[in-house]
Amino acid sequence: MKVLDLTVSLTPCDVNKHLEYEFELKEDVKSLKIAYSYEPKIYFDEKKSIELIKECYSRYGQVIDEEKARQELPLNNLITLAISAPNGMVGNAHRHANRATYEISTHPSVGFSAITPKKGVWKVILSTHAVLSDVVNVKVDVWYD
Amino acid sequence: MIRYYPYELHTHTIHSDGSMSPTELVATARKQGLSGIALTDHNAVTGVEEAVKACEGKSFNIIPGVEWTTFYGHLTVLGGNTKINYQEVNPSNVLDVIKKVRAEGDIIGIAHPYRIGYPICTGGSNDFNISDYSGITHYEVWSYLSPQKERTNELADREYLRLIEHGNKIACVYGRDFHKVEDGAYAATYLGIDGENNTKNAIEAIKSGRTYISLGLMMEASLKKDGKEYHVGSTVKAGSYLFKLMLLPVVNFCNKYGVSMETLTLEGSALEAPIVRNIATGGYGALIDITPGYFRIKVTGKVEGEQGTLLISTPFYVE
Repeated sequence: MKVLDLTVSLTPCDVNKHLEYEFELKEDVKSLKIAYSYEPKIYFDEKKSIELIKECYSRYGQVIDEEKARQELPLNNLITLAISAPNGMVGNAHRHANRATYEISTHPSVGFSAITPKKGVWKVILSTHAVLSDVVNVKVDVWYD
Repeated sequence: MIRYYPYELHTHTIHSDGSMSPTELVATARKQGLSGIALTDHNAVTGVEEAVKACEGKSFNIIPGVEWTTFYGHLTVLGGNTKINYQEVNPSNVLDVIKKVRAEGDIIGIAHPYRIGYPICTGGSNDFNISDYSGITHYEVWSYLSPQKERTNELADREYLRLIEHGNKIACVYGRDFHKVEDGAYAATYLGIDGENNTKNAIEAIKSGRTYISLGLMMEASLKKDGKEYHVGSTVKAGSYLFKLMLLPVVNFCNKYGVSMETLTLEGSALEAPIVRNIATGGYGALIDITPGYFRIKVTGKVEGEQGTLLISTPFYVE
């Protein structure tokens, strides 16, 4: 049964936030499954990327040329996912991949505590570490069998 | 009896964005001659149980920890006690959070304070604007593989010295930020552990500042006076002391990465002038006069074919 079907469009204004989205489990379940993705991963504006990289280095007293800046390409969007149960945090997937599936159960995916999902109000938390593209679309589906 | 053990205090596994399982990380660290690691996955502590299990029956210690990977900087929290949610840590409450961490029995330090930050490494540099460092126990003066090549480490060392000059007592540490096996000279943080090599004693060593960071050199150094011996990180009274130092190369490491020590420097405001000596033989002893301030040990030489700093200690503090 699907308990969350979330689509969020983020813009650069949404950077550095922990965005919370609630869903409800009406019964205890054996296992919760989560399909998570965001697009695009890569920030494709190369010209702007070079500017951002040079500006970034200058904040640390380093002036770099375009060749050196190109070594840092591509810049990436980075959104991480955390899950909170009715009684507190279950865990976090701080990874760079922009597509993943996770399981919350007594044999969970790495990064999450081993628990039996209990009924109550849960939260998906999206941490927006980097939002460079004009729009980053995030999709989170949560369900149980 | 204090003995110095090499540790890696900043590591990651597949429980965040590392490539190794906790078991593989422990095996790799042991193979590299380390006596322990702090497991500091990004915002996750779920790998600790497996890592501790992987050490059972082996003389290798795991310090449970986490790297709070916030938008404003990365902090390594070591000890495994804290229940604070990293999402709630921000510049406006960071001093309260540091106090809470210490009250919970954990220690907290600054990771890679000058890493190139957003948008290259998001939240990578220390942008917390911490106004009071009295609760901070450790500071990554070096990070990455081949730390002698990394320009941001010079900035970190400069800021570390500024903090020390302002009266803070903070352990000097290295963090490889160990995500995967890569070739390159890896340093270690040597912890002066009093007693058994376990988490409690390792945390105590960091809290007491009994640390030095090193590329392939083991060091015994002390100040002696009136039958008492003081290690790095100690606070002593001004006066004349016998300073003794012995450096030993970690032979396999030094051969592999071309490490040769050349110059020993004792530097800091407690000395009238820096003491600089050729250290090719590995030993040095002298009576030194120290006045209120601090001084630390630094060794330079060659590594990976270049001149570089091979060792930095936490200072001795002088009242």
